[in-house]
Amino acid sequence: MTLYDAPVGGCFRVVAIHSTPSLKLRLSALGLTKGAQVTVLSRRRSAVVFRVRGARYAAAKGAASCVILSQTGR
Amino acid sequence: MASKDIADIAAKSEVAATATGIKQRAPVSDARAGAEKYDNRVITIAFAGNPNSGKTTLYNDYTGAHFKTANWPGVTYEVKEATVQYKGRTLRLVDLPGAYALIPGSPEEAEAVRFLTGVRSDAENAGVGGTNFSGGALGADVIINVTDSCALERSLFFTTQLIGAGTPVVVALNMADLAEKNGISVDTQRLSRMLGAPAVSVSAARRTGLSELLDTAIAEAEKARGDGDRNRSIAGKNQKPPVPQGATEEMRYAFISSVISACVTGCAPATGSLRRAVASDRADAVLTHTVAGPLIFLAIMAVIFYITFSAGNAIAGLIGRVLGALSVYIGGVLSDAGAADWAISLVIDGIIAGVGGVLMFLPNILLLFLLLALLEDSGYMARAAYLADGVMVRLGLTGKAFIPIILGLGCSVPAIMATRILEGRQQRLRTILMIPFVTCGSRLPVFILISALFFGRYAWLVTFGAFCAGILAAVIVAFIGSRLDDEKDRPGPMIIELPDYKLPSARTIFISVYEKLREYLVRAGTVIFLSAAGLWVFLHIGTDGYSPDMSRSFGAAFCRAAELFLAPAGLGFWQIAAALIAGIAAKEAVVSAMCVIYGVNGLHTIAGMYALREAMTATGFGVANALAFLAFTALYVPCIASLAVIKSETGGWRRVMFALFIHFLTAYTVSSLVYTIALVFM
Repeated sequence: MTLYDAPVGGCFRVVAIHSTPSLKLRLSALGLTKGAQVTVLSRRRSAVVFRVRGARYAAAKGAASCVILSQTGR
Repeated sequence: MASKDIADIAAKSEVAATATGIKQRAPVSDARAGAEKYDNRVITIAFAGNPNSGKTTLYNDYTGAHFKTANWPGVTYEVKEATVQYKGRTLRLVDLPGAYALIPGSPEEAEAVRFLTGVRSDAENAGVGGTNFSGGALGADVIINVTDSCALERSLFFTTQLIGAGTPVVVALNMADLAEKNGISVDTQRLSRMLGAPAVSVSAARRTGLSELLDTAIAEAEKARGDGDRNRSIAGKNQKPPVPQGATEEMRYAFISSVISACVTGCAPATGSLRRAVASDRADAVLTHTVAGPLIFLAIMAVIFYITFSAGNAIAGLIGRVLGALSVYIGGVLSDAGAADWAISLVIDGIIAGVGGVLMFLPNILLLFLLLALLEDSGYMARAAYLADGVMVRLGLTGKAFIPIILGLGCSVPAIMATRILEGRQQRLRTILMIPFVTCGSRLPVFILISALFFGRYAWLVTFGAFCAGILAAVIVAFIGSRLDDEKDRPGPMIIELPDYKLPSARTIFISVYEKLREYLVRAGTVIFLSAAGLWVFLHIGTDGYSPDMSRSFGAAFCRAAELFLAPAGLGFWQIAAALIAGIAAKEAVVSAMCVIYGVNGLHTIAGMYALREAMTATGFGVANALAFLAFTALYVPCIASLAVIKSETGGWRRVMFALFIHFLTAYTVSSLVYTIALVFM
């Protein structure tokens, strides 16, 4: 499952980021790294709003669909 | 700490940068040239940190400057510096745009990174002109790393990159007041030990901890200098990187997690249990809702528009009455003093009518700036970007480009400069082309006046129509541009931080509105004053020298030449041509020019308005012409100030000429269409 199609309200862990190196660097600077805990807050067709490491971001489909998530046990 | 100290600092400071945002820069070719200029007694302190962490608020506190702050990431788009005297030392304070890491994404981030590292990055090279800092020496003696106490986990990522990179770092834990309110407490001493750099709790908004922070920064700078080596490229004498330089992002975050769990108590930031964050999430559930979100955005715009239009007009009458009385009084004084007819006419019909016609609309402008400042400081702008992303992507842009476009409702100049937050050259250029189509505060007086004269009850509807025409034109131009541009120049997907909502701060709003109003008044006193006086001369000097009959002047003869060309657009009147030419200097000048040309002094009264309409209709200017005139004013060429900024931001005249051409072509085509259609129906 990617960040783009993760259900709203769910809490997930980042498993991998499949993107160009430059996008990966940008995402990691914002806290989206392997192992980070992500909460999906809301979504539109074009973008998704999520919280990671205490900050809230909106990421467009192109960026969000690069982030691979797994369900956390929580 | 006592805010008196800070008031003292501010009082003694010499703010080198101007508050207009456009500052004179001494050209310094490279870092070395700056270093030679370096005075050993001056300590350079740079404010670096994530966007929206309060760097500029802190900088304003220390320098007494009034730079704009607001609640969205990317408000500060250029490096600013000021020199202050503090405890017998000279400090050079440098405010940098925000960045998330030493790897920049947008030109404005690149500028901050370049200042800190002295290395030009790809992102900066990919940007357009006007973003290269050349104000002085690159690099600082000490970096104050401003962090957000409420989002420490993310903030500290940049910190781990800065510490040990060569320049001593002091970590400012900003928004300490908010953290406390949310039940977060940070063990500052332990944090300092773990990071290997001193940390100080401050609140830039409440002005607490400011002296301690500055003292600590000075101590660090002097300690590093005490080692007898001023060469900043040699890695830190006193500070060691908390995480090895080559560490992966995962390793950095693992370290940060250990710091957070050891030093921060009272909240679980990762899950966002902060009260303000939870409240913001609740608000977002409505404000960014798929269906309700865009509707609410449109409603907010409609309310801003309505208040600016109606409430502003109610107050405008008062100013008009004062100006009317002033004009009568000065006219009396001048004729008593035996002044010549031409001199009285120049003062009354030229300057007072022209400048007064613009000042009349001050309340409308004030309200517009006030409402936009409230919107900016609330935290809503980033949401607007999120909501707009879907549409903007179709125009080959990202939702982020929507922020400068909204700012364009106030004034195109800062809006064009704010495009520095955008990644990718094509996206920036296309947004810069769109912005002048958006109705700015200066065009509002023209709309209000013409619609009030010719459309009575439907005035607001017609004004709203002109406003929509501008937006529509911007969208169409962007769409065509996106089809013509190379696919590979498309910007990457948008990622934008959505800050917590907050109650707009009175100080921030005051500074923002005050600066904008000051600019408007300065413009009324300079550009408008000169254009009104110049126009009077242009329209009163003919082959027989001074003549009160304007139609026999050189100006009228010149503008009559344009009549033929403007006739298909319904604007074939020399008076209108003259007003439009004046409007290139500044859009308000269209109104002031009309007051001068039609000899109306006293727009504030019903009689004055009636007189102006009579004067216009007497030349054959009807409702269809008025519609075409509104369309033309909404779309035609950007004002001189905008053109100058387009040149400096895009790095050349080519783009300026292109913008002039596109705007003129659009205006001419649309107003011709409007005129033809209006004639058919009327």
